[in-house]
Amino acid sequence: MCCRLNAQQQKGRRANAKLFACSSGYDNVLLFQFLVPRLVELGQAPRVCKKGNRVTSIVARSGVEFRDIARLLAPTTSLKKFGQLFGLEQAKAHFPFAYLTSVARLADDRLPTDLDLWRSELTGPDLTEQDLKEIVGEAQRLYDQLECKSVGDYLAGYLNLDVEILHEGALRWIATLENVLGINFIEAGKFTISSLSYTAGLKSAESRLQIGSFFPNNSQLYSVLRLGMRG
Amino acid sequence: MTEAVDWSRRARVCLSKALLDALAGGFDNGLDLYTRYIDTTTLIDSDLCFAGLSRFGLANRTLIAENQYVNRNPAAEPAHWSILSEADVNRAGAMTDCLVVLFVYDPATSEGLFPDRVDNNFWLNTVLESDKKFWLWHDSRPRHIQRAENGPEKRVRAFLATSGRARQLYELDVDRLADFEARAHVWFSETPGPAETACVSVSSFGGDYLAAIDHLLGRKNDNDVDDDDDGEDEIRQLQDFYLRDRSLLHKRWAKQVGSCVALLAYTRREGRGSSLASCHSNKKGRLPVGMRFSCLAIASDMSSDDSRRDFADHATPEAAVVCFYGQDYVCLMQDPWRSLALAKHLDTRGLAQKLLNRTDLSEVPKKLPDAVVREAEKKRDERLEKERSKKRPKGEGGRRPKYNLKKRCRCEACKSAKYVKNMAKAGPDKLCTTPYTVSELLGLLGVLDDAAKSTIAQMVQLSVAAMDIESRTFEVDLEGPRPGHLVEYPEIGGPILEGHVFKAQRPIMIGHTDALTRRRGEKWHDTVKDDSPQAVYALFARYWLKVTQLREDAAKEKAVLAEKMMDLSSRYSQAYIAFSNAWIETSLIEREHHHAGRAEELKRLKEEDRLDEDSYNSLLEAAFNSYFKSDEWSMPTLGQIGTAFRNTLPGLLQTRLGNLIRRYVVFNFYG
Repeated sequence: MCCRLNAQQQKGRRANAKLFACSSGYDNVLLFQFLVPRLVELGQAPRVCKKGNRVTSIVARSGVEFRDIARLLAPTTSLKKFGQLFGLEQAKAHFPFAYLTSVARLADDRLPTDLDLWRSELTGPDLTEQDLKEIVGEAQRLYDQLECKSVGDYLAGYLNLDVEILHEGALRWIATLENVLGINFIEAGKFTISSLSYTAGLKSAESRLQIGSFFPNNSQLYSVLRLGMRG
Repeated sequence: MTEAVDWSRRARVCLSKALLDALAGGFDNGLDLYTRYIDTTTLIDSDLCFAGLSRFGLANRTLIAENQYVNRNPAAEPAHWSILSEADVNRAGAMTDCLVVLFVYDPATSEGLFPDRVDNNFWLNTVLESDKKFWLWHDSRPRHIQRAENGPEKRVRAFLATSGRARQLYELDVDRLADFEARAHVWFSETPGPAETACVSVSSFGGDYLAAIDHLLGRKNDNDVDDDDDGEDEIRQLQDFYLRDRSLLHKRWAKQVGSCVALLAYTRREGRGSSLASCHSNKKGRLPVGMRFSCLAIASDMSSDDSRRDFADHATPEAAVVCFYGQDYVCLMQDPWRSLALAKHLDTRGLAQKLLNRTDLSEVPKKLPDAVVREAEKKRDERLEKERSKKRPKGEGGRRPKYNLKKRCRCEACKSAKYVKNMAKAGPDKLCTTPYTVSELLGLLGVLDDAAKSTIAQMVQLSVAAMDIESRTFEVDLEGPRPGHLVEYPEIGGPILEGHVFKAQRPIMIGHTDALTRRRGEKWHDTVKDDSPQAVYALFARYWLKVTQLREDAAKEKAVLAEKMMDLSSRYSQAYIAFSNAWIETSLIEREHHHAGRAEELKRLKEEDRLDEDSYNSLLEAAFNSYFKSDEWSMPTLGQIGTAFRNTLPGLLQTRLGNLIRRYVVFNFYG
């Protein structure tokens, strides 16, 4: 999800304003708002899991599941770091989201040069003018490299890059966790780090022939858990 | 306006609908206003119905009229809009370009219903009597004053609602508004008299809150100021009370109030659960549901270097309570409201904070007494037994079957008391288990080689997709639930007001990819046609079509990959069914044989006249039952056979493979 609030917008925010787009999993919130009504109409009976105001997953009857991969990662991980973690060829690009005030902007034939428009939550508020110039330079090079004819083309290139980083990163993360834990989380259907850890714990106990893994001794593990319960 | 009209039509229309009707100046009626309200204020909520409605441009009027507004029943409150919600009333007022002022009058039982039309002086004369309860319930004007710099002055419309059993709503003459205001009580106080005499306005003290409190507590600047006063001259924002040294504040008022002064801020609780009546009654000795007092500070002589956490400890039941409310009013609360507000505050915050501040844990027992543990275990066993008995399937005749399974295993684990405690009589409980994955099942079946691992890895890759949404931020400005300074206060104090949104995001472009797409060298993205929300819904409809198509492509590919494993499972299935059929056939032959043999014998006896007709029938039935309803005889149904196969390893493999083929996980990432 790449729509960020720029510094100007943040400044303009009122003291008591509440902003929807400020938490992880916001793509799921948008899907919940715009896609789920359509799924209901199509008889897909979507199962929406919410935790507070966050939408953690949307599962349609046909087997399509929308999930936030951040629930399998450390809380501070960004898409940029996620890509860097696996040394991907693709690197996350820059986009002036403060410039994107209307769809009509996509038809503009050049990127904006106003440096303030390139400042965002991702770039951080402390960037110097030199840093911003480098960002604009990188963006312009990508613009030329992709042979973009409009801001819309550049946004599409930026988006495709993000999606490829996410897809490739997800595949490598699956492989990494499988190597470490011996569990493929897609295969096991575990999409949060806590459920994956729990499953890995049980599997580990099983591989060490510890109690609790086999019938009927699971009652003993249950007793152990009960003894450890508080509250 | 010469007379006041009853919009509730003699209490036949509920108050919310009556107010909507009254406000619907530029609209046809209250329903139109309500429909437009839903259209313009619905952003996103857990209500899928509403989110879907805005897809049609204008909300589906029929659906709203029937289901949300309940047009067929005027007395029924509409959904998602209530006269009791300040935010709702403010927003409706903003849509009709007016400021709503709402008074509530609590009539005596003997007064009954009021007429359809009354003279303007009627209500003034009615509320003039000192024993009548009449208070200002809602006032949008303070918020408008806050924003008036940029716009023209808005029209003010005043209403009066009755809070008795029959609720009526009258529109009042705005020219007489000042007279009504002068007669309104402070509505969290029993103080008789108008608000302007019971409370003081901070603005009349030049915006200095300290001076206003001084006035309320009877402190005179010239005489009461101590020599060592540190110059706490003025406080111009409520938030500043947090930052001031409370012991110095106490010193300022010590002569007038003694022990301590609690500074509370009144915040009406947002929501639709409260009623007009409940906010003005304290019959049960506690605060009404709709009321909330937040503590700004408790000024006492023991708080020189305490943190904010423990300030509730300093309050005493005798504390004087100064309460801020409205735009800039402040009053000295009187009993019983004083003690109720104080007690509520101490109960909710003080207890928790006392526990938080606790450092001496010696009194906390490290272990519960054995008798208590035994009692708890006994109760737990009883509860578990009760739950298990409910879960058991009912047998014939509605009775639950009794299982008397003999425990053959004599190992330590099976003989232990914990085993008995945790095992149901009908069999073991499923505890602490994880379902087998495809790889594990193949391993258990002895066919997990490198080729199988590679196949599964490919299937997993085909099951993973990624999507991203690019959005633009746009401004929305829904009216906040509370006007005036107190809107900002709860941000510091902690009480939660219902959210109101100032910015939101709207998707502008979607991108999606998966293994097949990337293999083909394709890149897919789609853009909205324009800035309207309808275009966004159309975009997501197109996106779903694309996802469905890609999922089907991936499923076909996965099905081809999994063919070999499915064959393996099918062979097991065929063998299992063949064995089961043979078993069933044998059982049928046995049944026929047994039945035929016994029947033949009974028939022979009958032919020899050794049995009459009745005896023959009863013996035939008894013979049938004695065997076929005994434990020795059992024959599974086809359904049971299928279920049993699905729980075998090959059956599980079949199910898990099917799930993996169907599964299409689309990951997204924000940040």
